[in-house]
Amino acid sequence: MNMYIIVPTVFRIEQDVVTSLTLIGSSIVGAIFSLLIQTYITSLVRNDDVLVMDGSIYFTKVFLCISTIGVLGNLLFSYATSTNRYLLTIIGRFFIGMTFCETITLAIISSAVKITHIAAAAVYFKLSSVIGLILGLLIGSLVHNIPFTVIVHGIDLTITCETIHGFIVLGLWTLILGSTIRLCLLMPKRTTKYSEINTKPVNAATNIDSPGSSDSPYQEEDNEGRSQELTPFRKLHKLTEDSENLIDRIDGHHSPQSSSKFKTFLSYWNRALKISLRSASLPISFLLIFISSAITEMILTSFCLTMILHFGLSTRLSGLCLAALSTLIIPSSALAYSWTEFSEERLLIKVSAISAMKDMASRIPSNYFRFNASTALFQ
Amino acid sequence: MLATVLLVYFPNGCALMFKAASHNPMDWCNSATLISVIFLISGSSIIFVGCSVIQNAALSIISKTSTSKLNRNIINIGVLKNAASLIGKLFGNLLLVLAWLSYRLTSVDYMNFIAISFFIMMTLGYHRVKKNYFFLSN
Repeated sequence: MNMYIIVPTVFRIEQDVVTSLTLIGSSIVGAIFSLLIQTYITSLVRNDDVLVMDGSIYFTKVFLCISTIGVLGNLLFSYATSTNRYLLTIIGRFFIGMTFCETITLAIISSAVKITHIAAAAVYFKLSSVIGLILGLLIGSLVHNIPFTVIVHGIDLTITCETIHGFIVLGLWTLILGSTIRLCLLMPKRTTKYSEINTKPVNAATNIDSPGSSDSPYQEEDNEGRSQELTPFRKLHKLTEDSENLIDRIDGHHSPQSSSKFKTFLSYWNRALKISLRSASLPISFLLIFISSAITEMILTSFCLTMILHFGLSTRLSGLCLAALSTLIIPSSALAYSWTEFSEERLLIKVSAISAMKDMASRIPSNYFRFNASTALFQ
Repeated sequence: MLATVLLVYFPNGCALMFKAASHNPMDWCNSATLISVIFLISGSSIIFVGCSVIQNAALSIISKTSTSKLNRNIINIGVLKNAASLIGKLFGNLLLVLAWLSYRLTSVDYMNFIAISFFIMMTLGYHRVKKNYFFLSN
C-alpha cells in the first residue's frame, strides 16, 4: 500500500517525469536493500546459534525496526514534499521501501502457524497485500483533489491535498508501531538455542542414514508413532534429497562455516544459487517471475502517466482505473489456482504468454503506422 | 513478425533516439479519443492478467520443483523469489526511465519502446518455456 500510494498522484506532485519515476524506483531500491539486510540479520542470528522462536522476540524486534523506519520514512517524505526538497523526498521513499517485510512475514507464518494451515495463511497474506495495493491506489487517487490545507508554522510543515496521503500512511505506521511496542511489552522472554530447535528436522532429514530409526527407508512415523509407507510423491522427494546429500558429500560441500560473518552471508547466497542452478526448472521460473514483475511494474507505473499526460484525463479518474486494473490480480490468481488443480502449469504459461504477446503484437504495428502517418503528414 | 519488427521498426527507432527531442504533432494528446482510451485500458488489462497468471503458475512450479535442501537454507526459495521479483520491478522502472529519456515527449515512440520491450521479453520467456518445460508433460 505504502509503495504504490503515490503512483496516481506522483505525476502531478513532481512535474518532471524522470523525477517521478526516480521517486517510485527509489522505494524499490530500498526494498532490495531491506531484503539483503533481513537475510544478513537472519544469517547472523543463525551463526550466533541463538534464535528466539517461542516468544518471537526476534521477529518482533525486526517489526519494531521496520515500523520505526516506516514512520520516519513517511514523515521525511511528507515533510520534503511539502517543502519541495527533492533529495529528502528520495531518501524518504528509500526508507519507505525499506519497510518491505514479505520475507520476514512469511518466516513468521511458517514458524508460528500449524503446518496444515501454512498454505491458507500464506494465501491470506498474499490476498491482504493485494488488497493493500488496491487500497493504496484508491486512497492516492481519492484524496488527491480534496481542498485541504493546514500550515504548521513551528516546524515549517504544510499539509495540502498533494501531501495528505503521506500523512495518512504515517498515521497507519504509527498505529503499527504502537501495537508492536505493546506486543514487545506483553511478550514472554524465552530463548531457545537454534541447535536445539534444528535437531529434530535434521534427524528427520537424515533418517535414511540412521539404521535404527526405521525398517525401510521409505517409511516414516506418523503422529502416534506408527510406521507407515511413504506416498509416491514423498518417495520421489526423499530420493531427490538423498541424491543431493550424496552429491554434496562427493563434492565436499558442507554447511557454511566461515570466520567472517559477511563471508558466511555470502556463502549462504552462493549455496542457494548453486542449488537453484542444478536443475533447469528453478532458474526458468525465476526468469518468468522477473519478466512478469517487470511488465507488471511498467504497466502500473506507465498507466497513470499515459492517462494523465497523454490523454489528459484527471488524476482521480486515472487512479481509479489503475485500482480497477489491479483488482484483476485476484481473479487471475484464482484462475491460475483452479487451472493448476486439473491441468499443467506449462499450458497455463503458454496460454497467458500467447494472449499477452498477441496484445503487444497488435500494439506495435498500430503505433508504427501511426508514427509513419505522422511523419508523412508533418515533414 | 519478429523479423518484420526488427527490420522495420529498429532503424526508425534508433534514428529517433539520436534526433533532437520535439513534440510530435500526432501525439496521443492531440488525437485522444474514447477508442484509444478503451484500447489502452483493455490492452493493459490483458497484459496485466497474463503476467499475473504467469507469475502464479511460476510460483506453483517452484513449489513443486524446489528441493528441501534449498528450503532449509537461510537464503531459501522465498528470498530468491522476492529478489527476482524486486529486481524485475527495478528493471521495469529503469526501462521506463530509459524510454522517457530517449524519446522524451513523443508519446507514440514512448509507447512503442514499451511495446517492443514487452515483445522481446515475452518472446524470450515463451521460448525458454517451450524449450525447457517439456519434462513437465506426462
